[in-house]
Amino acid sequence: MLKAFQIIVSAILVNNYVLSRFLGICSFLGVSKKIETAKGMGIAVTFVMGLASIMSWLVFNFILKPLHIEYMYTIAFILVIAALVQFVEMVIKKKMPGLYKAFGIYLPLITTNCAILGAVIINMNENYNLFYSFLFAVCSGLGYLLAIVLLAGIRERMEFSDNMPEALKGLPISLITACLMSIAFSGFQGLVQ
Amino acid sequence: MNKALERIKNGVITENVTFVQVIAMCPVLAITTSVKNSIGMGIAATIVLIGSNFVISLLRNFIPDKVRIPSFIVIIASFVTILDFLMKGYAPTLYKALGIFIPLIVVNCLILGRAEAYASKNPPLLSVFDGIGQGLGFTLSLVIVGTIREIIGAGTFYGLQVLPNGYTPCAIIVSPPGAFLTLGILMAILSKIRLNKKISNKRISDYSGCEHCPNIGICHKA
Amino acid sequence: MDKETWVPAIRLFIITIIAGLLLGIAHNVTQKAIDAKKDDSALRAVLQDAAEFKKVEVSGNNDKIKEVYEGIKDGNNVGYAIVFEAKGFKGPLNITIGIGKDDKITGMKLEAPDDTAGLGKEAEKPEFLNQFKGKSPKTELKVAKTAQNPDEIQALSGATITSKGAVNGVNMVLDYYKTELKGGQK
Repeated sequence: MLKAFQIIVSAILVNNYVLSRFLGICSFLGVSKKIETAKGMGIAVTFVMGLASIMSWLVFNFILKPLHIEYMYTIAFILVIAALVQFVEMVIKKKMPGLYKAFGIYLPLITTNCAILGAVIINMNENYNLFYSFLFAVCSGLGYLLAIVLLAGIRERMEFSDNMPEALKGLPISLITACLMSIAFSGFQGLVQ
Repeated sequence: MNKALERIKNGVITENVTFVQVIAMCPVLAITTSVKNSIGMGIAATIVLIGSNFVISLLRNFIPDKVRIPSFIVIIASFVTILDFLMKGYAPTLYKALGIFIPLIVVNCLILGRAEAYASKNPPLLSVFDGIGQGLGFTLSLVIVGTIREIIGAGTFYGLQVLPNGYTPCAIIVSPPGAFLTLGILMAILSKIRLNKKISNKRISDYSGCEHCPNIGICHKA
Repeated sequence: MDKETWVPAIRLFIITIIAGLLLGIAHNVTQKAIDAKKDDSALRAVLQDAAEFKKVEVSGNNDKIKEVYEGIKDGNNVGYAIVFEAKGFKGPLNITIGIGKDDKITGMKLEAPDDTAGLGKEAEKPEFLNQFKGKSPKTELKVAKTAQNPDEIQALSGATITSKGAVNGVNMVLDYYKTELKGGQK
C-alpha cells in the first residue's frame, strides 16, 4: 500500500514525467497552445500508456523472458506500442466516433513519443509487477496531463500580452515558462524517498 | 565530393536538428548536465544514425511504402540494441549516466526523420554523409548546451575546474529547471539574431504543434 | 488477400527476422567480451588486501544489500566487500564498502546517479568518503556539522540528507556484517 502511494506521488509530482524526467518534451511544448488540445493529448497519452504498460509487461514476462531474449526489449516494446496504437485507433474510429473526434488525431503522434516507450522501459528497469507497472504508467500519464494543461493555460494567457519582446515569442517563452513550472515542481522533492 | 560536403554543412548548420528543425528535444534537455554526457550521447546517436541511414538507403527499393515506418523502426531499433550491448560492455559509466536515453534513441525524431526525409530517397554513400552531418549537428547542439550548463552549474568543463575555487556553482542550472532555462535563453538569442537578419523560422517563433514540424509525415502516417 | 496486402507484410516480416537473427549473433559475441571484462575494480579499490573475490550468497532478508564478496588472499579471508543501496536525496546511492579482518572500514566508493552536481554529487568525492576509512564504531556512526568524536562523520554542506543516507546505509551494513558475516564465521 505504501509502495503504491509512493509510486503515485512520485510519478505525478516529485519525478514529474515532463518537468523532471524530460520525456515527451516534443509534444509537451508542441501541443500546448490551447487547453482543449492539451487535454486531448494528455488523455490520449495516459490511455495508451496504461494499455502499453500491460501489453509490454505481458510480452516481457511471457515471451522475452522464457526465450531468454530480454536484450531485444527495445524492438519488442516499440513494435508492441506501434501495433497497439494502430489497433486502438481502429477500434475507437469504428466504435466510438465521438471519442475519436475528440482525441483520435493525437493517437498517431504517440507511437514515436518517447513518453510511452520511456514508461515501459522504466517499468522493466524497476522490476515492477503487473499492477505497479500499470499504476506507474497511468500516474506518469496523469503527471504529463497535469504539466501540459498547466503550460497550455499559461500560454493561452500569454497570447494576450502585448509587451512580449518579439524574440521571446513562441518557443523561447514556452521553455522559460516550463523552467518556472519545473522550479515549482522541484518543491515537491523530498516528499517521498 | 562536393555533394558530400554539402550534406555535412547542411546537417551542422543549415538544417541543424536542435536549433533549426527543433526536434529531438528530450535528450538536449535531459542529459546535458555535463559535456562528457553530451559528447557521449551525441556520438551514440550519430553511430545509430549513420548505420540506419546506410541500411535504409540500401533497402530503399525493397521496403514497401505501406509499411516503411515499421520497417524503419525495426532497423533503427536493431542498431540501438547493438549500441546498447557495446556501451554496456565498454563504457559502463557513460551507459549508466545516459540511462534510459540510450534505448530511447529508437524514438528519437532525428533518426526516424532522416530515414524518411533523406535515406529512403537517396543513394547509400550520400545517406551516410547525411547521417554524419546531422549527427555532428546534434552533437554540437548537445555540447553547446552541456558546456553552458556545466560551467555555470558546476564550475567545470569536461570535469576540469575552469572557474576559480571561490565561485559557488549555481546548481539549479544542472538540475531540471536549468535545462529549460538554458535552452529557452539560447533559443531567444537565436530568435533575436534571426529577427535582425529578417529571417523567420516559424518552428521557433510560432511553436504550435505539428504545423511546421519537419517530421509531420512520419507521425501522421505511422 | 491480394498482392497489395501480403507483399508488404512478408517483406516487413523478412526485415524483422533478419534483424532478429543479427541481433542474436551480436549478443552472443559481445556478451562474451562483456563477461570477460567483468570489472572488479570497485571491489579492489575498497578492499586492497584481497587478491581475489568470491561471491557470497546474501543471507537474511535485506533487499538493500545487493552483493557480498569475500576477499581472499593466499586462501585466507582478509575481509568483505559489500555492495549496497542507501537513500540519497533524489534517488538511491550505490555504495561499495570494504571491511577488513580487524572490523575496520578499509574503503568506500559511492555513486549518486540521480543527485544534483554540486550538492548530493559531492558525496562521490574522496573528501567525504575518506572520513569513513579506518572507522570501526562500537555503536553507530553519526552525522555532525563538524565532526569531533571518532564516531562522527562530517556532513556535506548543502547535502545533509545525502550525507545522512550514506551514514545510515553504512550503519545498516555494519550491523549486517556483525550479525551475518562475522557471527556466521566459526
